[in-house]
Amino acid sequence: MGVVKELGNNDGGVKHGALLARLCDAVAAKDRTVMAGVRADMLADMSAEQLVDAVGVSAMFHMMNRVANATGTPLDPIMSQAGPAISEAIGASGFHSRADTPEAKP
Amino acid sequence: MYESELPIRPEINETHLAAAKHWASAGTWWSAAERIAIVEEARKAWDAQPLAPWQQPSSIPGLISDDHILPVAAIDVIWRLTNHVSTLTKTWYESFVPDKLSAQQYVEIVGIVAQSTLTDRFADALDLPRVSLAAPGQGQASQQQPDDAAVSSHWVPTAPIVDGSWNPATPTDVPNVRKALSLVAAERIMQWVLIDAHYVQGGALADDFGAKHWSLERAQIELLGTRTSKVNECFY
Repeated sequence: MGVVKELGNNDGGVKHGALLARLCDAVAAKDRTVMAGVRADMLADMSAEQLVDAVGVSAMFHMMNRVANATGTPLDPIMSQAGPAISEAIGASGFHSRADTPEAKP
Repeated sequence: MYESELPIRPEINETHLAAAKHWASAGTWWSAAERIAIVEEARKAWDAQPLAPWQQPSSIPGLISDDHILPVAAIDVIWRLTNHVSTLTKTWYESFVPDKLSAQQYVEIVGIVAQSTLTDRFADALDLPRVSLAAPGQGQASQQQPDDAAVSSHWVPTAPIVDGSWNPATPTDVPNVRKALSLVAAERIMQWVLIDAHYVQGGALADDFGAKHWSLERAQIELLGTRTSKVNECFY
């Protein structure tokens, strides 16, 4: 979970995890130079197919994050037990959206 | 659609084109011209000099033209959704709904902004031109809504969804984020189409953690989703 919580060189047990995390931050930011650098690193270390698919996944979560945060989407029941531990591990406990995300209903 | 040397999958090309056609069609609570204006405003917000979350664009002299096709409240919602997704609260939502926008109008805006954010972040990240916006189509907003919609779980009213691909034994038990736009069925359906083209198709979500999807391993996909959600501060 450390690779989710903060950027660094640790892949977190996921192939190219640190690079994929950098990609997420670059997609969310507005710095074309940084994004170009991440693209170049992905093409060097991974593949063009993986670059396209990884950008697609991150972009898809930009859609989902807006839907969830804008509608007060409650946690799913499956998260009622694991949720607190995951939240703590990735540093989500302080999110504004936590206060307005209703608890899971079993 | 996208002209690039990058190997963009047909599913991505086709669904981004479908989204563009969807935006240019008469909607459920907004006209086609208004829906195109919603996408244009989201792009304008993303490309603008940043405003603080509490600064509404309508409070900045000259930022919104007097003859804008959208009501001021819609523009303020679009900018906040686009640039400050981590700051959305129920109190903020209630400052617009129902006094300035209906819940139906709000949900349709959320759907369109969220979809266009997907296509635009994809294009920007790969240095591609953003999806072209078509001329708005004809027709009136349908004003169709589910009979059984109610505020029961989310801030916004939602309607029950039946989808046996998740679990045939409990077909109404779908993830809450997939129900979130159910007040405006057309936006919920477009959202689902885009999910399936970019992420993991619905029914496979819980039982394939060793599998690959497209060119990525499932662990890589979940890392991308979790880190993006962390950056956007999405607790869900």
